[in-house]
Amino acid sequence: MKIIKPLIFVFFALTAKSQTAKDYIILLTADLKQSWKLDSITMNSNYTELKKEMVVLFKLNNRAIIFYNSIQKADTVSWFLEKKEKYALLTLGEIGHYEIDFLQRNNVKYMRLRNEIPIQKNINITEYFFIPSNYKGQAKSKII
Amino acid sequence: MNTEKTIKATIFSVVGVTAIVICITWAGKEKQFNDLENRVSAYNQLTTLIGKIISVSNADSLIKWSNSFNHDFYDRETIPQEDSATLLAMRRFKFELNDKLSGTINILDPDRFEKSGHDIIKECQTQIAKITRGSEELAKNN
Repeated sequence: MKIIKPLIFVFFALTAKSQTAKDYIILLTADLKQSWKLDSITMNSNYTELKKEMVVLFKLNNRAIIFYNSIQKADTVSWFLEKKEKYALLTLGEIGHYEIDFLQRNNVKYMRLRNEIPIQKNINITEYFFIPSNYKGQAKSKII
Repeated sequence: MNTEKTIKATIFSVVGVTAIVICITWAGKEKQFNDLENRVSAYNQLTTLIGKIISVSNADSLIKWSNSFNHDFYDRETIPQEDSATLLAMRRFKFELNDKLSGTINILDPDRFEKSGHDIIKECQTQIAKITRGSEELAKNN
């Protein structure tokens, strides 16, 4: 019994479905067929790092093109995705680090970015909800 | 004669002070034991509650137990501030609970809610083991 228990544990550990960074990257880049539009932001904050209505196209070369309201303006930033033990972390250029999740509610799929969760209860976490968008932009992007 | 009285008074004083010191020490240790017992009890209650929340299938019961978690543990000082591991696990669980209550599914990690609950239970068990070891050492020193 002493030998069987660890073997069973190892079996379940190996067969358990675990998410890798690749799983997140596949959904994030969507084979470049789709970009992500920032649809809503939680909290009544006047200042947020990401601006509503902006559209982000994540490319496989770890560059993300951010299109703003005006189609004339676009920025290119680097992106990096790291899978941590309990969550995945997306680094978006100099803009910031965000916990990233792909969610579904009422048959609507969306992507949520939020600031890393700290211990303190009184620190508010801003959550950014992105919906899939077909916009791929024509504006010339500026690397920032 | 005076010397004899002085010696007697000194002996009485020493005995009295010793008795008082023993009483205070005993009461202090007793309080320490009670504090440890209360902490173990809080961790046990939290473990039981989280177990109920992550295994419940009925929506009404989920809301009921969630309210209990918010009022009795999340918004309280039940878990000491120095136990940052349990507090962080509770904070993460609170976010997952909100998703669960709103019917949100995590596409890549559908079991995140249950996992975050198990994280709290694991941290509680670690703390209970630490406290139990502490109280055993306290009992030995007594």
